[in-house]
Amino acid sequence: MLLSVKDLKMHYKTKMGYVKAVDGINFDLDSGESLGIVGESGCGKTSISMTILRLLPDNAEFKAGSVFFDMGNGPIDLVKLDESQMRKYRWRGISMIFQAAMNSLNPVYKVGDQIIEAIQNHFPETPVDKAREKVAELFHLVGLDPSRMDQYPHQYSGGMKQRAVIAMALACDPKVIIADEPTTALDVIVQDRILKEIRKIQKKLNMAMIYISHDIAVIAEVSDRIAVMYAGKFAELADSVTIFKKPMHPYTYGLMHAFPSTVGEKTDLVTIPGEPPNLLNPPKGCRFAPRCPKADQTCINEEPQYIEIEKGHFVSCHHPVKPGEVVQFYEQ
Amino acid sequence: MVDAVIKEPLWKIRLKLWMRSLRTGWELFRERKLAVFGLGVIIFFAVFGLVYPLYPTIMKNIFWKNDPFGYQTFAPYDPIIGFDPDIMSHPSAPSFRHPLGTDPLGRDILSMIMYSTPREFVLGITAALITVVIGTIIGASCAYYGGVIDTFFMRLADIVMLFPSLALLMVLSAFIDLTLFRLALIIGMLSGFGSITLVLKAQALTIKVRPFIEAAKSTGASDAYIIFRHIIPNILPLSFLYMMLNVTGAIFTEATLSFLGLANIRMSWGVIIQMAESSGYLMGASIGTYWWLWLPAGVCITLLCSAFYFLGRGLEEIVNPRLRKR
Amino acid sequence: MSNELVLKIEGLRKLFPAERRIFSRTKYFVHAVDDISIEIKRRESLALVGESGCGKTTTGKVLVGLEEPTDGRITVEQEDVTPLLYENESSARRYIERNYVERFSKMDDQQLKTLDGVDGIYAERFLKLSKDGTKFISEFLENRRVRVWQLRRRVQMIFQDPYESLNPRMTIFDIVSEPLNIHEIGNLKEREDRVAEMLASVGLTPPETFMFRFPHELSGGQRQRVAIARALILNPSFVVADEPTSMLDVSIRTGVMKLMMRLADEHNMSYLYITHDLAVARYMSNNIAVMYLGKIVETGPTEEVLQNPLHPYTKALLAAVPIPDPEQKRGEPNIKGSVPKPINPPKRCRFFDRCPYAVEYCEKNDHPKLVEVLPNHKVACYVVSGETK
Repeated sequence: MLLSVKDLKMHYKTKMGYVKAVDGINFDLDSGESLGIVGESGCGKTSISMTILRLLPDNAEFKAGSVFFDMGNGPIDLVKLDESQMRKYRWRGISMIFQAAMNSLNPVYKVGDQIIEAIQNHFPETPVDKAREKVAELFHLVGLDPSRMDQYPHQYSGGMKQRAVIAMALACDPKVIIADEPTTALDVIVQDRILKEIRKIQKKLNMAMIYISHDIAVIAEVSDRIAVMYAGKFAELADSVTIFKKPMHPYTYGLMHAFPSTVGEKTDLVTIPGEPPNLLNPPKGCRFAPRCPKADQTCINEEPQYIEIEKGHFVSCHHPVKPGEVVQFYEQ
Repeated sequence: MVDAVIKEPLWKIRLKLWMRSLRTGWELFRERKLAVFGLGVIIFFAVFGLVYPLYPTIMKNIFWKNDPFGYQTFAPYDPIIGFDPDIMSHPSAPSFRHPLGTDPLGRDILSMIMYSTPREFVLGITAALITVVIGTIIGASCAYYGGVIDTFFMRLADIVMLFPSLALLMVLSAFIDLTLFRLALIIGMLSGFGSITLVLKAQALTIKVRPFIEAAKSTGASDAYIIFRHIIPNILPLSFLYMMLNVTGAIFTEATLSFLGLANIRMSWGVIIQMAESSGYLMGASIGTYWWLWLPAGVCITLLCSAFYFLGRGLEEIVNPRLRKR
Repeated sequence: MSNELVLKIEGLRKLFPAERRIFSRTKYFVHAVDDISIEIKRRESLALVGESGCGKTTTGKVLVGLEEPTDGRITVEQEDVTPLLYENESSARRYIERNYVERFSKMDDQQLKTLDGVDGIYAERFLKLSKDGTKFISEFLENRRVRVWQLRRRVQMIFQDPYESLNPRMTIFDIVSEPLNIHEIGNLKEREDRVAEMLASVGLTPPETFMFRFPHELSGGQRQRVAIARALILNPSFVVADEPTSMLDVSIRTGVMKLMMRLADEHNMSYLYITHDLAVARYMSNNIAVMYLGKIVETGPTEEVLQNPLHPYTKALLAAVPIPDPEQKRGEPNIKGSVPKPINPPKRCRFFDRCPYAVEYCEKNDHPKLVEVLPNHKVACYVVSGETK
């Protein structure tokens, strides 16, 4: 196993109490595999990646859990490393494509130089010409003209900036890339190209990917396995076909039926009543219980276990949806 | 149909909301020690100024009880024409009769300082209010209309900012009798057309581009409605902050002018120091010997000015969430 | 009267100067909206779809008076409202002069009588005034201020970002009652009732718990409901909805979409639904118009256009939309390059440099007109309409 996250818990400390943004997350990731994490805004999906990479703001408090990462010499718990050791794994082991990538390029430096800097930060002995060669290679890989290396970010279009950011993420040959909403601000045609590009590179370099997005359609396109996150926890995790064809968690079911599509029959869209809970004091039982049509007293009082219902299919629900069952969501 | 859902009159609800926002504001404010200190000093001075009428009465009742003559005919604690005939030479050092001593004319320094306090407040706050009203309206209008109006007021602001206002006030003092209110008006206008318009315009510009302005416009709101209902309420916290900082500036300017003897103000902290200066007590060794002539007034100016400044800075952190610590 | 036209746009153009010059005339213009025509019938909705920068939002802003049109005629419920959309009266006067007086003066009485539609109404008025141009114009501009005001009541807009489109310093009551306030409708008591009723109908129940809260105390979905309530409180005949659900989460989005459809039914009103999301457009509209660089390239009934796209751009756009189903494989979007800036675009098909099917004919001729290829399904493409042969 390349990356193995066990019972990860990270809370944000605020004046009103703890915001339980990541509250017991478990997943494994093999090399060459891609995992999609889908969830609504504020469900804690970005916080997972920040916790794994330990890029947390000051008010974040790591609570529990471990992140085992295997660079080829046995699994190491990243949680136990100190900051200087961690720096070795960041970018070289696990790198990240940030949300709003357009803004993660510094406007006053040439794009190529920024990537060279990233390389030299992690491999200080690399000479500049070697690094330039590497950048040219990376540009080629992400479909950018290497002659654009000496241009400034403002001379790039949105899609090109995104490609440059991907090149930067690839700069130190990482084993895992976490892509947090990699295409959110882009138009569909550009989005399509970028996603295909990432997919192609991933196959070529046999990297593992974690995609994080609110858009199920995007996640469905790029992921082998999908985790559905709700209010700081995984509601369901399975391979992407199972998630779409046999969703077991009522929330997953609702999401699948709430998403409009341009193809197929124009079905009635489902509305999930209510709003996601406040993570300051989430419901005591199942976090989805207040919005769930199948919820009963057990769901309100007891938190469901996150269990492997069938091989590779994890669900945390007291009353999983049976295949073929129609869940009726009530309108407000 | 929904039946009457609002059980209380609207103004009562608004009052409640206002109180609530005040409370949350206070919660944030309380954490800023320096600002709380500032507020404390301001309150102290306000009380200090307000109890002035009691001061002579108390003193008279203690020290002049058995002197019916002096008690009735002259007022030794009058800040302007007072004189204590029982003391051999003036200025006299602090004593029980005169806690902060007397000045060369035999007046009680504490009484002078107390008497001046409300006037300092009036001057500072009037000037700052004028500044802020002018600055807010012009800033908002410049941001909203742009074009000629904007260019005109911005160039005016440049001129006002580049022009040394103290020099201008000195020249003006030759033509105009600078009474307290006139001074407040002039100081207020000078800073109102100056840098504050730039700051508030910049703030208003960020408000102007937000979609709720477009939403109001598309509903048919007039320009005045948008400026007064949408833009100004959103820059008001910043205006209020600048008002606090402007109080400092106004009190300072007044002190300077009074010290130079250019303002026609009968009594103020600046005048007290000027008195010491013009009678030659600020020269050579006498500056240390006769410290009570200038130190109390100087401390008062510094304290009140810095109090308003600290209060302003504290409010800035509340108004501007980016400065707020988590 | 189900097929009554609520909105008709003819040849709308909006140019923005691409540079600022003081002494000479501006030479370069961004052709944000370039000669588009749209019709919306009562209770029907039109989705205006396109990528960012295609001019769809500008079109919406012109309709609610946030931008002045450069050219074209906008008719709302059989009334030419274009003169009301100009900031100053002289531009409005010039518009009437050019569009009616000059044209009508050239016709004789017989011709004027045969005109139909909106033209017919104004021709009749022109004849009644015994062809007096000045009188016609002044009658046209009568009570302009008041009529501008009334027009604002009939056309409302819902904005994209529910976090930015509500004034953070106003309570929900103040926000929703603002249009009533501006239009001086009802006394305080009546306004309170009206707002409560409106909040209840957008699903913010019970209304009294929401009325005196501030926007930051509500969630995104609730805020957008407030924005909808504000737009509908004046009972508009149509609403420009600028991506109202694009910032909302999926589980909340459908609720807002359904609400908007229900309200359209209840209030007898139409939407101009501006969106970049074809899947949402499918659920929210009867008709669709696909925009590219300020031009409408394809228009028709939504289902028809999505199932049978004809224009190469629509095809590419559809092929690029991710499908929420891992088993469905979609085609490759067949398109080159990226969106150029429409600054003084050359006289050829706008899509020429990105089109995989482009031939010489497409470059030699101006941008193609919309041609009805299938019933109600119009396409602006020389290749599809067969003109290149």
